[in-house]
Amino acid sequence: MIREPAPAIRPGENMRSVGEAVTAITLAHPAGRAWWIAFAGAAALLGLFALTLCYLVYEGVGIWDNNNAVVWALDIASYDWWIGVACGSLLVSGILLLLGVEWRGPVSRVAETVGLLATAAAGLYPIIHLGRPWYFYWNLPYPNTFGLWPQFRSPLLWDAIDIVSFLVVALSLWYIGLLPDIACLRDRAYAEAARQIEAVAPTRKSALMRARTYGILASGWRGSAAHWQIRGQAYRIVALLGVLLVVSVQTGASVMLAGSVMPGWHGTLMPVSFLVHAVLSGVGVTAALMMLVRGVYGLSSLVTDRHLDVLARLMLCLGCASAYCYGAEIFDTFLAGDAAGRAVLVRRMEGGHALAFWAAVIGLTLPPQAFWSARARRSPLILAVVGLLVAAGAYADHVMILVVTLTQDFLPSSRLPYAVDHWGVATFAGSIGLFLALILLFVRYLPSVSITEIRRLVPTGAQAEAAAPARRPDAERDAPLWGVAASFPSEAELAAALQALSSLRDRIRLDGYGPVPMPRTLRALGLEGRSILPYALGGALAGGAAFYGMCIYATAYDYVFLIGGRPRFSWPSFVVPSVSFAMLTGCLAVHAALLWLNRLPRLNHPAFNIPGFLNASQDRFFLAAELRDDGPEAARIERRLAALPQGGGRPLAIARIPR
Amino acid sequence: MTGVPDLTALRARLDGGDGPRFWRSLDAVADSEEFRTYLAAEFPAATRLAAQPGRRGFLKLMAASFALGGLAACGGPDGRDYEVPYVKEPERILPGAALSYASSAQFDGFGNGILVTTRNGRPLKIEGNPDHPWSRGGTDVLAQASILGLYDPFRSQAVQHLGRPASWASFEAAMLGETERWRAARGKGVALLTGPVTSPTLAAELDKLRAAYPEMRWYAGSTRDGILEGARRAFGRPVETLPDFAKAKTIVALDGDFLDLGPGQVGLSRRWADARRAALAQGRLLPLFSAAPTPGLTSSKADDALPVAAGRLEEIARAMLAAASGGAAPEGTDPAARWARRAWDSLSAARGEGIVTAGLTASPDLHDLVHRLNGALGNEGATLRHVSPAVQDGAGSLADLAKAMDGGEVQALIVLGTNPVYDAPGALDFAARLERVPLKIHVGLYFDETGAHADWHLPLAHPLESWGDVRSLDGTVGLIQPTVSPFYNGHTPQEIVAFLARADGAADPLALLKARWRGQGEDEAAFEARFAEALRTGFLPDSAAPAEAVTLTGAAATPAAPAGGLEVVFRPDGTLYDGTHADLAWLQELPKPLTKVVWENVVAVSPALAAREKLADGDLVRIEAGGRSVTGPAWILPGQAADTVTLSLGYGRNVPDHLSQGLGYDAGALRSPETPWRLSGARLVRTGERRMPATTQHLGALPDDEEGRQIIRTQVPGGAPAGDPKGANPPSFYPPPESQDRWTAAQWGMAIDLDACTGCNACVTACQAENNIPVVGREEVARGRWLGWIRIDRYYEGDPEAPATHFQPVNCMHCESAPCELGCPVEATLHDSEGLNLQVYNRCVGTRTCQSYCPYKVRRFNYLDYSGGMPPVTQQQRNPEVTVRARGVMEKCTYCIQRIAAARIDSAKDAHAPIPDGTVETACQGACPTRAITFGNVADPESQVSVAKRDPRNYSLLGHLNTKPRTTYLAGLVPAGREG
Repeated sequence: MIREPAPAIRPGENMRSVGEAVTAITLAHPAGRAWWIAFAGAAALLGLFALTLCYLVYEGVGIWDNNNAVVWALDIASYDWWIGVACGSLLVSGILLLLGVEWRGPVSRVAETVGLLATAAAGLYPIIHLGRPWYFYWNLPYPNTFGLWPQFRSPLLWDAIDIVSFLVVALSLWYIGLLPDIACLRDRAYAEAARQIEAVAPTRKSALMRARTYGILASGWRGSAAHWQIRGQAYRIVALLGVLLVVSVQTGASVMLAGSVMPGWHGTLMPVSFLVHAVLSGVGVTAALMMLVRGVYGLSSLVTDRHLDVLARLMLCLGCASAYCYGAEIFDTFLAGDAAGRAVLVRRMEGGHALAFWAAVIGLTLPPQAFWSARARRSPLILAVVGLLVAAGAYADHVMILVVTLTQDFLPSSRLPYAVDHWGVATFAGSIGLFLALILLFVRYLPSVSITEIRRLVPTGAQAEAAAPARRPDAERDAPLWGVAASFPSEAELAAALQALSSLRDRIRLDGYGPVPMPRTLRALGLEGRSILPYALGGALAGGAAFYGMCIYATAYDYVFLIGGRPRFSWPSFVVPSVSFAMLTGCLAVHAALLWLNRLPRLNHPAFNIPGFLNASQDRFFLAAELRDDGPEAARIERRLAALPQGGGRPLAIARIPR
Repeated sequence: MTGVPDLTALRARLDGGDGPRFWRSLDAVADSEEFRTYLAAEFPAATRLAAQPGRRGFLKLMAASFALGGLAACGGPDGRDYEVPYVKEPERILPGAALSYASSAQFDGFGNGILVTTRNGRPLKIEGNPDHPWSRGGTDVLAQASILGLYDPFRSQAVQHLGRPASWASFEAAMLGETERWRAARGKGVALLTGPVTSPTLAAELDKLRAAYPEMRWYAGSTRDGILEGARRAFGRPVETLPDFAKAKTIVALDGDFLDLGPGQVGLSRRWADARRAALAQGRLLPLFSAAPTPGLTSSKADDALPVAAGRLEEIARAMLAAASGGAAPEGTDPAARWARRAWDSLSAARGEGIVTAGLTASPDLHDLVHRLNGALGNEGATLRHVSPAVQDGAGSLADLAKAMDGGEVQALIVLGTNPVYDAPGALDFAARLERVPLKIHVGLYFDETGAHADWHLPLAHPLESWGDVRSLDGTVGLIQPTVSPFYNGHTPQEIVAFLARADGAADPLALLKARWRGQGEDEAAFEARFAEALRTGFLPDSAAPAEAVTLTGAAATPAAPAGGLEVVFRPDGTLYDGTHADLAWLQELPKPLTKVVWENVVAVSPALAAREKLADGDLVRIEAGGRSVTGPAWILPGQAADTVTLSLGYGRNVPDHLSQGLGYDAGALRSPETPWRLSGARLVRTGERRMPATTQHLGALPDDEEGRQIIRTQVPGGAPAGDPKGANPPSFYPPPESQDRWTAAQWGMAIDLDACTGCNACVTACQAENNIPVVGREEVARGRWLGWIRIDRYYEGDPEAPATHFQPVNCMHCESAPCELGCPVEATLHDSEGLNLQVYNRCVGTRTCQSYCPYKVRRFNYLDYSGGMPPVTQQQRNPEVTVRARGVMEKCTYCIQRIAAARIDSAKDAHAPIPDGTVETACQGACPTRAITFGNVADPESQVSVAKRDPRNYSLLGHLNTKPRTTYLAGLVPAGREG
């Protein structure tokens, strides 16, 4: 039986209601007490993190119970887990975006945020796990007076490049997605501040401050058709870079183990199983957090059963893939592995750390099987619980892979037992505290559901007030004019009005503003062919090639050392960091293009003087005709607009905007 | 400057050792006439002010004091403000250049030849003296650690009277009257207790002392009484028996210990290893049969080892003696009888070419039987040489002394260099009896348990600060020369004995030494030349004791009734020996050869006993015998005789604030003077508590598959080669490293002969001394962070009740395709053109990737600041050529790169001539008494290491990983039928 997919948005929602529902969380903060309780808990963990880090730096990594054999334990397991979660959530968001899935709105924002913050938590570990953390930058190729280069064949260097790239791409994706929403918030906050100024409210100062902060974050986003166009392209390109980077990062993280000769690490399946478990844990954490936000803020109108269902199916799918990975590894090792490899596998199953193995296998493969049931797929509670279980399973998997191999490898004499110690746990708990505190700050101050994406699902301009075009008497008629503006209830009418003015195009600059991307307006403006893809491609290729060239120059010519008996020109070793670096430079190029082509950031723009422009981020569309000189065009424009038929481009209001 | 002479006098007073050695201010020395005179001459105004402290004067004085007080704070803490270069350079001392002096290390009274490496006047490292006829270049762990003993902050630093600081002058003053009384009483009531005296100079001084006080009694606490008593029963007089392994075709050790830690270890294990090599060259095995109640190094290296109760050893010896005297071969079907038959077959097949030997802890009866067995087999005089004991004869035993003290016969007791309150058998209750002696003088390196009971404690000079001489086990006289001026104003035993004999001020120890060795009527110049040459070589040539002709007398003692119950055997500790040097942290943290336990002693029990008593490692058990008991953690020891429990000596020290305090249990409490090494009828009681000892190796059983045979390989002489075939490296994706084509420099490599390795740990301690490896402490070892660069893996194979034991020293393999290098992101570990896997400490950020990639797990990480907080005096031992590693840095074996660099610099001076083979000797190689380690240039086909690597026994550890290790192993030898 084929069932109709549940609707991705509840009927009856419109652009304004969507915007209000989401922005109300940050502005009015309905669930204040629950938030404070949660934040207090997270802050306590964060305090523990600060304490642990101070002690760690003061005393040395010897405060953990790592030893001569188990040199990596919870530190690297935590790093791998965090970066796995980050990769998983970023991959979910990126793929949904690239596939153009229309209902992704509620999912993508949480996924992108989880991706960003998990990267932040992960990024700390490669620094703090070092014996001498204050020299962490030695891992990076930076100009120094000694003429030293890092060792580009090392998967740890790849990791360092990966994590920097990943942090930039995750931040970029998150910010680009967030930009129009921040503008929406800014406008709502200004409206609120303006209301409070009139009411002489004692809180108006903080209201204004908040509006200004959002204003700076929005960096002058006006919702212009061109903004929307470039932003949409940038979003998709960065998502694509992110997806490629995820593969590169997980390869780097897995080769950090697979690059050795150690039994249990030295497998070709490793990158695949790392990727599968990373995505699974990322989806799990995203799902759990989404259910939390949904429950706390009552967003069930936006995060619908359909979203739950899709996340559940995704986890089911990945759970099966995970089972396949385990099965393939066990089968392969017992069938074709050497004695040491078989011994490690047996120790994983029944050795001192068997708990980790069984927790990993059971946690990653079994809980998603609940989603064969449609009822379970629609239950937020089950989704959250399964999400957390697979995340825990993924952590156990990392611990198992690291510790079992290191406690005993080839020589029986080098066996050293390892037990989880309290400082190691405290460090990990602290990093969770960091993550949670940041997540809570995020849901408190930024829209946790993408307003923009949800608005794409709502019919535009549903509630146009049929008001006569009121010609506003301008107080300062003599002031130099910037242009003429008009407001419309829908994009169609805006486009029609632009069409009507197109014959004046060589004497005025036309632009349209609105709360959603406006393809018809673009067509009317004649901008539809613009693309920033060349910038991205150029940035990525140049960055990747430069990095690859640097690796070769450093390793084969400038800084020649015999490393592990490898040839000077070890070209395969340089592919992973170069790909990661290419994603980084591509992303930076996209950002530069986004800002440059849109002439952003520009916090003060005459368009903001358009009366009612605050609604440009809610449900109103504006036309702005910028005058090249102080000619008679203003009156002509007003006449032409007023002459348009009702519903065919006739503005709701027309205003002259001073410069 | 009228005050100059007075200042000199003041200096003299300070230097004379009478004033406080370290003075905080002049106030401390001001209380003297000289100082007041000096002050008046130098600062007349100050005297006036001091004489009339008027109000204004007082204020002026105070102001000046405060001002000068601030200036005084600018000085260095040790009173030295400047390091001044030599104006006139002392002979031979080149700043920064190493200079070696030949000397002797003392082990329980016996000597081994050593070379003391000094740099800028500081002794830094002990090497073996390759010219010494007895020790021939090897060293043991105690000799290696003695360098740390020199800098030991726990050493006794001052004369003490009734526990309070005193001075030599006050001691001398106090003794003036005392010695007068002794002289008057002809020494009656005076007792002298020494350790075993082998020093001819000390013996000569003792003779003078005994001549001065004819009624004085001399006692010596010697561990070798059992050996000498056994010889006395067999031959009618005490002799030492030295085996000549080179002439032997088979060796049977009945509780033998010639490879175990002891005074003979270095010399005997070298001779054994050489003989075994020589036999292999002839295509045969020199088999070693061992029967022992508890496994030691000797039984671990045995080709056929039998764990058997100590009480049954005489029975086995008797059965063989009966067979040798024409009776039937030993019969029976139990393992002991079957072993005895095998050993007997081997012995009887090699009459006149066999060796039967017994060790320190064997009973006199067993020694007697062994002598008779050797005699019956015709081995006497053929493979065995008897020499008169190096230990000076004529002393009473500790038990005699205890009896005398109990009877109130001892009015004054001088304890010279021993610690009877700790190491006398508990049955003597020495401390309580000591209370009956009115005057107790203790002379020792440490203010130990005996010092705490004594009226006077006098610090002894460390052997590295002393003049003296000592005999080796074979009688060779080794000279002891100081390498640094005494740190703490200690004196040598000879000086003290000479003082007591004459009581007229200090004697010059060098003069005493020369006086002993100057021949009658010898020309002064000729003597000085002879003496200088002896000092240069470190020993007197041809001074070994001549072989004595002995004949067996009497008959073997009748067998005693077999004792029931649990048997307890006592053994010197595997790293501390008798505990004299228990304050040396290197020895404490040295893993015991078999248990790999550190920082304490354990109660070794057999797997069978553990199963019966349901014991696990670390269960605290109480051993009760003779109304006394000790409690310690049980340790299941494979190869232990079923109903025998081993207690080791050297622990349970109780000197407040010393390093050794509170570590382990004092096994001596259970000992009795009659049978010091063995007790029967003991009881083992579980206390129900647990305390897990820290150990460096957690798994010892070889996996019983292909993998296990890859790790430890064995070779049957004349059998199929056990080593890797030529060109055995698996195929590789990568071309051979370029650097080997480009450079013609040396390519360093090492080969370790597993057959020669006895697991004695000398290499481990030598490495620690050479490479500034810090001690991390018990807790850190328990957390798995032992820091040694070379470890000796011990593997068991076969039945846990009587396993075969293998030792495998594992240092960095310096793999040509090193997995570690690939992982390091900062190139802190990389390869150099000479094939060394380098570790660049200041580049290391501590990712630990290298160690996680290392299949041999030979790297060590400074998890905490292990090198910090070391006492300043101990820091002086550090090798200036080796970086002291910081926290957060990885370290590992460097093949002693500082020694390679030194040789390279030398060759650069010589127009970059190739470094001759054998010039570079790693610390581990130099220390090895059996020469198991060969190091050198593998690119030179004629070098010793290349020759070793061409041996068909040569194999790479984990070679199938294609790491191409530069350290390879020569498979150990096994008799046919035991090949793995």
